[in-house]
Amino acid sequence: MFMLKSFRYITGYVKFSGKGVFPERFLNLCANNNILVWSPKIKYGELSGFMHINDYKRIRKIAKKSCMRLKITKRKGVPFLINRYKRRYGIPIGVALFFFIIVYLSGFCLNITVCGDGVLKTEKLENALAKSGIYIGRDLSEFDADTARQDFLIKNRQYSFAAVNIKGSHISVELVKTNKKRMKKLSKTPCNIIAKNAGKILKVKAYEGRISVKIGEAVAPGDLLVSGVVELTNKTTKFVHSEAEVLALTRHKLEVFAPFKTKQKLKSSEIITRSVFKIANINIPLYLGEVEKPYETKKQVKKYKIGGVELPFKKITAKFSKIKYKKITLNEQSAKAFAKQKMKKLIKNKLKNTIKSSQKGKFRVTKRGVFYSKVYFCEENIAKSKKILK
Amino acid sequence: MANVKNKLNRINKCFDLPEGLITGEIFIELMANKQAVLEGKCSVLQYSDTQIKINTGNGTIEFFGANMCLDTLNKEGAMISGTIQKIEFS
Repeated sequence: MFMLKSFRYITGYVKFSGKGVFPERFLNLCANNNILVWSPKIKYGELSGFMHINDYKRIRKIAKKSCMRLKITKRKGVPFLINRYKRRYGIPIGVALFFFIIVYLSGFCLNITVCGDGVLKTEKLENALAKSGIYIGRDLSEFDADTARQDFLIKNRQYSFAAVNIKGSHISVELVKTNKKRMKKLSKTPCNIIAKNAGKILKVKAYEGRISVKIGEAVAPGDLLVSGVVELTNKTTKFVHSEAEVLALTRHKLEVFAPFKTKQKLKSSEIITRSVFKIANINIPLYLGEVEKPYETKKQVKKYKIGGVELPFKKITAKFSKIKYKKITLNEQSAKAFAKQKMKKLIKNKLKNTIKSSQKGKFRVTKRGVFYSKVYFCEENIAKSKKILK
Repeated sequence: MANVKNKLNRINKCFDLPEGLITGEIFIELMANKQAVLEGKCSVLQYSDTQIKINTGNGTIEFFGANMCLDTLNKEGAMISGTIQKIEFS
């Protein structure tokens, strides 16, 4: 019944009523002329019923024959609906545009999911995938999953397995990380171990290769520590990939300079927020104008999901805080404090947790500023591999 | 005409077919007292809420009841719905 009702609605039908002498004759003539009248009712000599719009156009003669005067009381169906809105061009254009967008966008990658043991979809991984042609907004008609997969594996040796599957406009990437031991095996080119820095050898732990230094011996940068050329008992030589940990006591003299006249970076309290709506690879700015340089930015990305599925658009909000540089003149004491701060930063970057002891720092005051130097004694691994054959 | 009908009736009996199948008599199917389906050529003689009179060619059939409605009427037959209380053949 639902199918019949929907068919009638699509084709369009009318409810009619009529007064006349022979309503029964009218029904019989309709039946004989293949005109379908459904739910006819006769009440107080008035006939009412339903009929298809095309059939209604054909009943004029029949109505005349049966002495009936008919009129339409209700119009229902899609043809009438179209007729009602035919002057509203926006509706058909909108409907056409909707279908066009649906069909057009289905030809592009709208979502990428990455799965695998311990593999996370980070920005770094997203960039690596993008370099192999797997990115949101990619035209799928020209996309070859197998080529992209091979390209990704060649460029990223840390993954041993990759599978790229396309499901509609969704790309799912499955990755397996390479075992670290296997990675080492893969890079087994013959090499020596040389000294990175000058120092006094404290401990040598050689996994492969022939040790060429003794404990307590002093070495200069570039000196051979573990050789990759091994002599066998039958007096033949073999090249191996040397691996060793060489702990040595090293001396580092660090010096920093703090000028009297310097520029101080000042952040303003005013924060300007700018948002961008990103659909696939298209950025739609939600602002007008530009932010004056210099500034510092903090980005926030808001991703939209429906039922756990990431949608192909996101909102990127950047917070700009303006920076001003102020010229300041330091006195000797504050310059010394500034130099000490600089030294701390330098140690953090260069020596990390290797410092064993240090000498007292020395200040040297000049016209331009203060030099601060300090000697550190560290225990560090000075092993550095160098290929034997180039 | 009557002669032809008689002959057709005889063939009907020979093959043990249902009565009136070849002669084109009307076939009535009743669903309890709610619906009646008429197969065969028929026309409406009288139509109201309480009574529907159908001409079958060989005679008339009258359906009496309440809320009677002629759902469809075409060349192949008709469908009547409502609460049928009485059927009269004449």
